[in-house]
Amino acid sequence: MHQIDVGSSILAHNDALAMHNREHFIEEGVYVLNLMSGPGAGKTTILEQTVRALSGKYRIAVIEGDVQTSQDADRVAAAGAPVIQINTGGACHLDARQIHDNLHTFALDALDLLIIENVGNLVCPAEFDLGEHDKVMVLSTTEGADKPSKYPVMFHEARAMLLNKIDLLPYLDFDTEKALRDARALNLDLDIFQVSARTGAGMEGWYAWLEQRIAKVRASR
Amino acid sequence: MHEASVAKDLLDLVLAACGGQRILRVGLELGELSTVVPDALRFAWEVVPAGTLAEGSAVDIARIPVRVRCPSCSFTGHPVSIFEGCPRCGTISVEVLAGRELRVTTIEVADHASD
Ligand SMILES: Nc1nc2c(ncn2[C@@H]2O[C@H](COP(=O)(O)OP(=O)(O)OP(=O)(O)O)[C@@H](O)[C@H]2O)c(=O)[nH]1
Ligand SMILES: [Mg+2]
Ligand SMILES: [Zn+2]
Repeated sequence: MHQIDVGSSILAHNDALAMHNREHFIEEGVYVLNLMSGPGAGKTTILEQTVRALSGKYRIAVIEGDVQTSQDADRVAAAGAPVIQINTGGACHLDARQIHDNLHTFALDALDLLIIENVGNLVCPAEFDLGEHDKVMVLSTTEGADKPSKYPVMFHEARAMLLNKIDLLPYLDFDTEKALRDARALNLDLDIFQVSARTGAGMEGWYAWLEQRIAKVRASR
Repeated sequence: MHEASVAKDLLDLVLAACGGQRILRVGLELGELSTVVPDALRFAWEVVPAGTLAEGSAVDIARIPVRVRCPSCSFTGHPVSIFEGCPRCGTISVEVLAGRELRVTTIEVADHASD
């Protein structure tokens, strides 16, 4: 019996593919977002609104990660963006290979913005880099204010957070201050938008943020 | 929740490293911040390597504590939690140096097929 030193990360393969994706994105000048949240926080609704609001100005495409169905993809397509659906077949996250396998279905250089809706899950997606420029978290008021402290890794990694479903605040005992304080404690640079994708409240700030990020990537193309 | 897919990637790694010898033991480092649950990974490892050189191998999991660096006062060490920020000056948003590992360190292999 003898020992062999291995010393490699189990995620190395995913990370290498993510880096490869990232090179594509930078080269083609398309800004790529990885949108993450727990189940039902409102990712698809936010996407529908965002596509409606910005598709007159930018060329937008969407990748939908879904465990089983194509319902989310159909909703986003109806809002007017080309969509690719990735069924993860039960897997709890998207990985860089799935993104890579689908990259060449879009003419990336003809896009300004590519949004990837990850599988609704507060744990696993954080571990798998897809090659995106930024991770954006959605937290909804119906999930409870304790989520940032219970699932710190996802919030630690995000560049921005949308606190969604603020239209429901009058009916809930959601402690907005605690949720935002905990999220900021994990991530001082987190840009936070309090929105209702249902009523459209607060969405302008989110769109302005996106436009800035798109412009930055374009400028360096 | 993705321990089965982690186990598959782990299997690919150790099979590539074992030089065609039977694998007896796999040593892993798992950071405290990793989302992988040790027991679930051990369980997946009882199933995933079936029919390969790693079938029946044990898996040793070493947990790696979180270590941070404070951007303000340069403190380096273990925080109370990553929520508490820097234990010396209270600065929040410390840089995570360790605790996210998911690595194979070593494997133990049999010298002969008969071992
Ligand atoms: N009241 C209210 N409901 C909302 C809001 N945004 C989304 N919803 C509702 O919340 C439910 C889930 O929204 P989705 O957009 O499907 O959420 P999701 O994060 O894409 O869900 P999964 O992909 O299944 O994880 C739907 O019934 C939406 O209509 C909001 O701002 N206010
Ligand atoms: Mg959805
Ligand atoms: Zn400090």
